[in-house]
Amino acid sequence: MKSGEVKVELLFNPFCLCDRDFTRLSSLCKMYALTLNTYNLWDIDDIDLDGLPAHVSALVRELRSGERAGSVYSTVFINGERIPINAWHESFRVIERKIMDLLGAKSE
Amino acid sequence: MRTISPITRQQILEGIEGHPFAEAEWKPMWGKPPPGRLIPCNMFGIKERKYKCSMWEEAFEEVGGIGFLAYEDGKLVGQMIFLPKKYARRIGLPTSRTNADLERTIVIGCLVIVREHWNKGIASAMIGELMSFCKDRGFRRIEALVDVRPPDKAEGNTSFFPFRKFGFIIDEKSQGWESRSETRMCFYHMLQV
Repeated sequence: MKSGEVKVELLFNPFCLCDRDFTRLSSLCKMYALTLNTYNLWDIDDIDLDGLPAHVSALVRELRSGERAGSVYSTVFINGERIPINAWHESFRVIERKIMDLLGAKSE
Repeated sequence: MRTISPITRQQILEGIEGHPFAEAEWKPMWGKPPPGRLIPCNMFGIKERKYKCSMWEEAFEEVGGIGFLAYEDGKLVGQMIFLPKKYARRIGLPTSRTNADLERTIVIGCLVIVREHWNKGIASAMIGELMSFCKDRGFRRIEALVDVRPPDKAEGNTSFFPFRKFGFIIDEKSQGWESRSETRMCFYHMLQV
């Protein structure tokens, strides 16, 4: 898969750790020449949900309904697959492995 | 001497001086802390955040506060951050599943005490401040994310212990953090007073 075919998205939870997550994910995307799209939960109005990718809007709806347990962490999607950031540094190791698998890159 | 102070608008905008709380998690890859300074909180300890968000100012405007800071002899040793439940829901913060009193509920999203100052009643002091704050502003319910294990086994999560003595109740139907099965939401109804 080419880098242009790997879609990386970050759904920000602006409560506390977003700067850290954004910095780390940005550097990963830069390393693998990937484009990073970001969405901030605070900035998403309910009426905007239909205009978002389905995997993003589905998660936002679940969180706002209260039916799904929440988190202070942000969420990463890679080609629509959800990878929660809930354990530094392991979550980012998972994210990088996923990117490498999709790109067919070899680990050092 | 202990002081419990509300977080000010200026602190929201410019960061909180002397913030120690992220120290345990800090890794060199995130950059070096300023010389002679403890590692700041990932939100209010950072003076120049890359990602700006209007949420805190809006919450401050609507509610009149977003949290408290605990000082011991002038040193910052504890922090509580809260939001109205409708805001907490908007950003996916852990909340109880119920939608009752949604507009009149405050959710504690963060309650941390520097480890050397555990078991001194600092968390209780901040919970007490929040209860007064909620009573004055007509909030009916307080929710908090807690670890149901004893404090020494809670692995840094906020323990239920300080909440229990105020009459908070564990909401067994509402898991706290998605990734931590040992966490639950707990709640307190102001009408219990």
